[in-house]
Parts: sequence; structure tokens; C-alpha cells
Amino acid sequence: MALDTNNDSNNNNNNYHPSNGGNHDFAVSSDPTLTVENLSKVFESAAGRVVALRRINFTVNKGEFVSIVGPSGSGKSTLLNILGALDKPSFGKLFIGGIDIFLLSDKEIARMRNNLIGFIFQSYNLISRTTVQRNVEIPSIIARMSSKERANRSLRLLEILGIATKAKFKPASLSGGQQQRVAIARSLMNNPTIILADEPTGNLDTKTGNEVFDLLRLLSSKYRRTIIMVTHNAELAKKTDRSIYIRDGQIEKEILY
Amino acid sequence: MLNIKEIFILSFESLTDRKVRSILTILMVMVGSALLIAVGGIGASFTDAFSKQFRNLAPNILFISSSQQSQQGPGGGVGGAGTPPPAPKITLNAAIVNRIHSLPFVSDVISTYRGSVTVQSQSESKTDSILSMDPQKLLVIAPTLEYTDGSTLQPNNPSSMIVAQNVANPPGDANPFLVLGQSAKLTYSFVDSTTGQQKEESKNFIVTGIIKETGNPTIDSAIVINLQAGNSLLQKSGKFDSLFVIAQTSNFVDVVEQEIRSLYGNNIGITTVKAILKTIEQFTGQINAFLNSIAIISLVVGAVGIITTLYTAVIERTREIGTLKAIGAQNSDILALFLVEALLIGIFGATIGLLAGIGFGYGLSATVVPGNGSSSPPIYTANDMARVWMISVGLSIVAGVVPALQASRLLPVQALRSQ
Repeated sequence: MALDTNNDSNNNNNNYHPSNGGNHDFAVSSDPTLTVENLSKVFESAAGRVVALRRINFTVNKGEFVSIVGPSGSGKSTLLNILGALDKPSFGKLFIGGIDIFLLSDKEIARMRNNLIGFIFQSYNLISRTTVQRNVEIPSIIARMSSKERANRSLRLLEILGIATKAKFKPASLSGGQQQRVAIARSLMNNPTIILADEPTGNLDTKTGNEVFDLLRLLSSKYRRTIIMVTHNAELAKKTDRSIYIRDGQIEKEILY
Repeated sequence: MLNIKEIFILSFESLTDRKVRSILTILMVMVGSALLIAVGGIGASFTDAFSKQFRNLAPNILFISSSQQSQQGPGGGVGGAGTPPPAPKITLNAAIVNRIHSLPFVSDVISTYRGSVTVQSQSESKTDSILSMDPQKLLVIAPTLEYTDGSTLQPNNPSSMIVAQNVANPPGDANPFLVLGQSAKLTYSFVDSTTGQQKEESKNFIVTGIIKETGNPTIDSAIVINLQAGNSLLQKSGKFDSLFVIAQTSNFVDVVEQEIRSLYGNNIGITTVKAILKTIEQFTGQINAFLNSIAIISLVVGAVGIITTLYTAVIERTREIGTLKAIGAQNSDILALFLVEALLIGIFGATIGLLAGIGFGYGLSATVVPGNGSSSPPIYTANDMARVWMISVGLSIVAGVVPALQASRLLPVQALRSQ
């Protein structure tokens, strides 16, 4: 199975830089891919100050499949949001491809999310009114990929993920597993370096969940994509390269498998 | 960043996704712009019709009215649509006519008697207005006046009457009321000033001429008899109801007015064609402004509809906005998506409203506009239509700004948490 439809999956010579915005051929950077330094997140609420993350430090290397594991409310989703630059930390730094992300402007961060990061959500977050293929194409539409190229690429991805026949269907007519495959295809559309998955199997039955997980595993092992997956499923986490356990906003332990 | 074409496609998809709500919002905008177009067209038609009617009057004419006006019937003065002149106190008689005639720049003075009479033609009778004057002078006050074939002017014949087309063939009547050569009995009712008793004066006249429609409301609804016959029938005793003072040219109208004013002060009523036209323009302008304000209010209601629709869309699509931001959409992309939705609602609403407004205007002018059966069709100009279209679309965009800004400023992490 040839996942990289540009046949450049092993291209290793381009680091991300904001000025590359719109370059959908962005390729995998040098090691390490992602570094977190003293990351903390504090929420101010009516109930008082809540420390969601406390001095988190870790590094994820290129092609590594890392799981972030913890019970509900442990701060794992908050951490994933910050890793995807969807939220900003109260303190600390996040380096992706050697760049301190939160020194970038909002526009540059948005461009980085578009080129460098693929998101997979627990509830798929597909746009219900449009077709499966167009859902997959949205990141490339934002990146201004030519319509011909994005049609070829999206169909190829759907084919690889085994749902090419559903290209013209609306997402609501697909099963949960199929919708998550669409979400995976969308996350891969701009050939990102990092894939962030938030409980990607959380809404799926065990068999379908395993199939989706195997796809992620394949992305990491064969195509050298860096995958960071949040899960509360310790058994699933054991199948990744490394698990970072979080409890009460702190790293409790790291296990290398 | 999204390109323009994709923004339009995505926005259009959003609109079609919630068809009913989109159609209702488009309808709200449509109603506003249709009303603006229809009202504008009818207003322009009114203004044009009034202007045409009074532009048929010679611009070098001044209308002088007398205190006898209260005794007249519903015929009114030539300047009936204008501002009523100040209460005149001078009785217009031959001496005053001669005095005014002697003023510089005055080329003629045409005296008239007015009154309302019952016209009996065979077994039918109608009430009409009498304009008693020298029939030869009709062309002076209405230069475009024409007679039907077979008409003859008999200025010295006290039994001759010339009737307007609308009097001879009343609109809506199957058969003509009066025809050339026909005899008709004219009856004038009045109260005897000495006895206080109701009296009638009747006389038979022969229709010698029929005036084609002139656009002048007084002439178009009048029966013209000569001064001698009018004085006798209407019991005027040589007291004229109004005078047409003809200045040498329209440039001297103001001078002549000042001269008459200096002689009689405010004891005489003076109206000029220019003043009438100005009053009509003010009147129609105010009517149009009032009708336009109603139409604009309905357009504003449409804009509020757009705000409501887009606010609802922002709330419903918060998670989608978060997803789009997560996969790289910028604030400006989200802003553009919602603004283009408002723009599309505006374009559809304004365009359909424009077409509907044209039809609505024709329908209104045919059914609602009162008249003599010859109501003018609405007048639409490309400029007016473009202006309404741009106002509607512009207002739609303005209405979309706040919801679009709200959507664009959503934090991705908060938007993604939305259920």
C-alpha cells in the first residue's frame, strides 16, 4: 500500500518554516520532531484557579508513535490541544521542527496546523453537508492545492483506506469506522509530519477500533509519521512505541515498549 | 487561506444545507427590496404624471383667484393641487382685469367664471364643472390643446359649449354621455342672497366641440362656455372667480407677480405654474420619502433576519468552525465564509426582490392607484434599480459582519468542545 500519494514520504530535507505557508509538499523534519519544555496550563474559573498541566517536559522523535494515557480530567486532552497549537500554554514552550510555535503569529500558527499537523478527533468532526471526498479535500482547499491534484490525492487516500466507493456519499451514511477512516484521510491530505489523535477509537467497537489503530500504526512504522494519540485505554497504549502517563496534570511515568 | 471561488462554494453549500431558513431569510430581504422598487416606481410615476399635467400649462401664466371661490362647486381652480392661496379679499371684476392688463410685461388677462352644474343629456344627468371663458383663449392657457374632428369654436355663440373628452365619454361608461351637435340642459343651483331660497337656473346648450385629453386637470374635466353665458347661468353679476394673467415671457412671471402684489398686497391670491410645480415636487417628494421609509424599514427587518440566521448558524456550526481552524483555516477564512453567506442572501434577495418589485409595482398601479381609469404605469430606471440592489446587498453584508466576526474570533479549542 502506497500511502504517500506524492511518493515523497521519505523526503527528509525540509524543515517547517512559517514562510513556507501553503506548501503542501511539506516533508518530515529532522529529529526531534516535537519538544515540550516546562509546559503548564492554568485555567482561571469562578471556582478558582485550576492547574491543568504542571511543568510537562518530553520529546517526540520523527516516526515515533506515542500515546498519552490518563484518566478523565488528568489533562491529556489539554496537552494534546496545546501540542496542536489549538490552545496556548500558560507557561513553557513547544518546539516543532525546532521552532518555538507560540512565538508565531496566529496566521503562521494556522498555516502550520494546515501544513504540518493532521488532526483526528474522537467524534470524527466531519462536515455533514458535503461529500466524503470534499471533507477529505478541505485541508488542501485551505492550502490552495489545485483542484485536479487534490481530487487525485483525496481519491487515492480514500482508496488506500478502503472507502473509495464512498467518495460521493455524505458522511452520515457511513459507519463510525468508515467515518473515522475519512477523518484519517483528511488528516493525511496535506502530507503532515505529525498526526494528533484524540481518542480516535473511542467511539468505535473493538474490531473497528483495532482496524483504525492498525492504520495509525502503519502510518508510523511504514511512512514515518509522528503520531501522538490520547487514550484512556491502557491496553491500546501498550501497542504504541511509548506511553506518557499523566495524572493530575503531571507526567506520572513514561513507558517505552 | 481559502481562495474566493472556494469561499463562495463553501458558503453556498452552507446556505443550501439549511434550505428553509435560507429561503425565509432571502424572502425577508426580497420583500424589502421589492417594496423599495415598487414604491420607487409608483412614486416616480406619480411625480411624472403630476409634472406632465402641469407642464402642459404655459409657464408664463399666473393664476389670480377671487373671494367668490367659496360659492363654486367642486371644479376648483387650475392650481387645485397646489398650496391654497392666502385668503383673497378683493372681488375680481372688469376694473381689476383692466388694471392688471395695464401692468408692464402683461400681454393678456383671461377672466373666468367657475361653477358646478348638473348636465342632463337625454335621460341621464351628471354633475360637471363649468369653465366659463373666451374659448379662443383656451390655447393660451393650454398650448398643447387639440379638438376632435368636427369640432367648431363658436366664441360668440352663448348656446355653444365645448366639453372635455372625459365629460363627453366618462371613463368606464359604455356609451358616450355627450356627442358633437347634441343638445344638453345645464342647471345651476344656488341660494338667492336676498330671499335665502334655493333656486335653479337652466339653459340648453349645443355641443360644438370636444377637447382631447390635455393633461391639464381643470380643462380635462370641464365644460367650457363663453363668458356671457357663464355670467348668466352661474349668476355671477360680472364677478370673476379667477383670472389667468399672461406674462410676455416666463422670465417676467416673478416681476408681474410683484407688481400685482404691490397693487393688492395679500388681498389677492396669486399662484404661478412654477410655484405649483415646486409644491407638487415637495408633495410627491414627501409622499415618496414616507413610502420609502416604510420599504427601508422592511429591508432593515430583512437585515435583522440575516443577523438572526447567521447567529444561529454560528451557534450550530461552532464545532465545524473549530474543526476548520484545527485543520488550518484562518480567522479571515471564517470571517469571509460567513460574510459571503450574508452576501449571497443579499444578492439572491435583492435580485429576486428587484424582479418581484417590478411586477408588484405594475400590480399596485393597476389595482390600488385611484384615477380616471388611465393610471400611469410605474417608472423604473436602471439607476434606481441599481441603487436599491446595492442598498439591499450592502445592508445584508453589514448585517453579516457581527455574526461573522463572532465566528472568526472563536477560539479553536473552545469551538471544538461545543456539542
